[in-house]
Amino acid sequence: MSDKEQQVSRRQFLNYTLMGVGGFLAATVATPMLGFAIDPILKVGGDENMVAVGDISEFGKEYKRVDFKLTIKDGWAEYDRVYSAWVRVLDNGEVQALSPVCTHLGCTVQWSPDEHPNQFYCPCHDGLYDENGINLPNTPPTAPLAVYQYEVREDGKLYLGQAISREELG
Amino acid sequence: MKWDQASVETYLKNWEVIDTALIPVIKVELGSQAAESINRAAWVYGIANQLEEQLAGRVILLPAIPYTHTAEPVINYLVSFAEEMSQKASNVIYLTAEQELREKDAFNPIKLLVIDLAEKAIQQPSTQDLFDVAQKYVPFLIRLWQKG
Repeated sequence: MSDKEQQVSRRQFLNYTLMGVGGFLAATVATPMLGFAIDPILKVGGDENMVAVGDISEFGKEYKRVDFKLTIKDGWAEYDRVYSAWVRVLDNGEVQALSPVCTHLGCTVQWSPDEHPNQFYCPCHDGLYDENGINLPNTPPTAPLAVYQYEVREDGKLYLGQAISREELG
Repeated sequence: MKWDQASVETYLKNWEVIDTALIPVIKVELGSQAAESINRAAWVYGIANQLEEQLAGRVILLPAIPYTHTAEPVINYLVSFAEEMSQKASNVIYLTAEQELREKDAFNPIKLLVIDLAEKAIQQPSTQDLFDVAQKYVPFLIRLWQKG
C-alpha cells in the first residue's frame, strides 16, 4: 500500500469530523423528539388506571352499583369516561365486580328488576344473565358480562380498573 | 350506536332491532349570544352521547339538527323528518335544551325530550354532570319500549 493511498487531506479530515459531530448532535436532538412523538402509538389499547370506588366494608352479599370516572389515555387523546359496575363480596371474600354492558349490543343491564329477580336484565332486547353474570340460554346475549380488574389495597378501599371479557380471563 | 364508520358494520347487521333514533336539536346563535349557545349545545351533545352509551344496542344517535331564532319552521321540519325516519326506526326522539320547542310542541307522535338546564347552561358540563342528567332520561326510553 503506497503512502499516497493512506494519506487523508486536511479538507477530508475536517469534513469527516464535522459530519461525525453534526450527526451526533442531530441524533441527540431528534431521538427524544421521535420518542415523544411515537410513544402513544406504541401503547396498544390505551392506558387505564385504577380508581377507588369505596371502602371494601361498604360492599356486602347484595350487588351495589358504583359509578366511577377513569381518565383514558388513548394515543394522544386523554379524556374522562364514567363507568358503572355491579359489585358484591362473596362469602369467601372474593369480590365480584361485573360490567353492566350487555354483551349483545352494548346496552346497560339492570340488576334484579321486579320482573326478573336475582338476574341481570337488559331492557333493550330482554337479555338475561344469572346472578354471576352468565348469559342465560334463549336470550340475545351470547357471552357472560365482563368483569372488572380489582384490587383491595392497604387503605381498605376497593379499586377498579379495566373490564375484561371472561374469554380473555380464560 | 353511533352514526359513524366504526359502528356501521354492527348497525347494518342489527338495524332491525336498533329501532330508536335519537336526534339532538340545537339552537345556534352567533354574535354576542354565541358563548351561551355553545354551552347549551355542549350539554345536549353530552347528554345525547351518554344516553347512546347507556342504550347503545337499541338507540342510534344521529347528527344534530340546528335551527336559529324562530321555532315554527324547525318544528315543521322535525315533524316531516320523524315521519320519514319512522319507516326504519319506530321511535324517533328529539333531545333539546330549548324550552320554546316544548311550548310550540303541538305535534304527535313525535317525542321531544327537553332538558331543563336552568343555571347549568352557564357552565361547561363535566363528564359526571352529563352522566347524572342522562340517567334521568333512561327510564323514559325503557318505558317507551315497554309500551311497544
